[in-house]
Amino acid sequence: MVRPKYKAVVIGGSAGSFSVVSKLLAQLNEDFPLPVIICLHRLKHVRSGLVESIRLKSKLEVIEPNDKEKIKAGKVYLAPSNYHMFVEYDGSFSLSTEAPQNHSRPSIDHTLSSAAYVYRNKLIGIVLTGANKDGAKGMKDIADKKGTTIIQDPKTCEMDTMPKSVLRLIKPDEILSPEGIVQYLNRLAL
Amino acid sequence: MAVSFNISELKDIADQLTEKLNLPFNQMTHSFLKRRLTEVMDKQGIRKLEQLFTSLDKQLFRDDLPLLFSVSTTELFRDASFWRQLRKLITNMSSADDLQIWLPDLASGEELYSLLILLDEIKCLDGTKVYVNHPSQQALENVKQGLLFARKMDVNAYNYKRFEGEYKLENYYEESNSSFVINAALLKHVVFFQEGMLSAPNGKVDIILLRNRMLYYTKDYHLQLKDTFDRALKPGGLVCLGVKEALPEPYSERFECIEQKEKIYSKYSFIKD
Repeated sequence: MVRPKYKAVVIGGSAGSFSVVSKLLAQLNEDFPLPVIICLHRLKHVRSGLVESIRLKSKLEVIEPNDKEKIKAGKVYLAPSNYHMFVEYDGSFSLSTEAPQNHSRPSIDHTLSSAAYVYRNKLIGIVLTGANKDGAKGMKDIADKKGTTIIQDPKTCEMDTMPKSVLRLIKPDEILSPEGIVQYLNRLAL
Repeated sequence: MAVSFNISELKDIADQLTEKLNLPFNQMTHSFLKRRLTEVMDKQGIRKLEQLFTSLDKQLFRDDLPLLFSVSTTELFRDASFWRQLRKLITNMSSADDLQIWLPDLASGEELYSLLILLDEIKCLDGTKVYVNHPSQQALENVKQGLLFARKMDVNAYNYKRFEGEYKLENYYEESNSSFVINAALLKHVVFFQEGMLSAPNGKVDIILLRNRMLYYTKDYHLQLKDTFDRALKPGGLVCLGVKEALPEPYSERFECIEQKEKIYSKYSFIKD
């Protein structure tokens, strides 16, 4: 049996990323073979609404995981409001109410770095549009572990601070438009 | 440059910490243990694992660790809908004027102060005894001081409004020189004791409030905690967890989830211990 090249996709985004994520999930193939772990900056006191909105267009099941929930292929996981979300070695999530990182809880750096530590070179990390530098360190951790790094082309971003912050730390493997990211991911399912 | 650990090193460190401090470091999630160890070593200027192990022989360093591994960041009335629901449940409890409430492993005061304000507003505080424990004496002292962070006062006020409190939040704290201190009278109803999470107070309690404090421990440890809570709780008593936590399965022979959204569980009232 051939070992799969990747085990997970992890995505971070902030200002402007909701529409990009919605479009991406609407166009990902139904049989997409990997878990998609998403951390978006969101309002801390609004517990519901975001996951329901993302679900509307997604072909894959979208879940806001509980603490210690197992990560399964073909599902989309969205970091809950006001919690950091980490990937554990045993293939589950753990959540945390520790201090905000980069003024954010959930913090993209936390999710990306923990995924890098667990999945190493079998991880695809993607940073989308956003107005701060959260996610840049996480992408560096993914690159250091030989994972694949992709940023949204700053020219297509509503706010380009986040992908440009990644560019200051690493040279990503791919710089793609939202459509290009969809095509890249769907090719993995072939 | 921060020290990095592989999984076997982490396990080794956790085992040594567990043995030397008699606290469940080996039951912490890997991500939490790694994150906190990195922070502790950075703060202490420790660059090598051997240095860490040497430091563990120093009593002062060992005394600091339970505080350094505690999570203190929260806010008053976090998840206001939970507090509204708890208020409703307590108001309907037959023992509402004579409650015993336990807050295990409490490293910062906001959950406690929120509870005391709630009890005060429904006129249940006088007959209530609240038990608070943590392995760090310093953490308990911090909670006793009643200090609120100035930077969180806006969010505290916003949460209190969403809790639909009776008065103004200002009624419950004193402000001087940009310090905010919770009214000392509220804390008279609290018994503090320096113990780990598995040490319940003497006597049975009506409510265990443990929101978001199991997040840093493994599923195996959650099972041990569930048994501890079961033994500590009166029949019909409540266990309150964080909104993204769950009581570990199997629990349906002893507990039922009475508020799925707010993660409030009740021990069956017909159980005779």
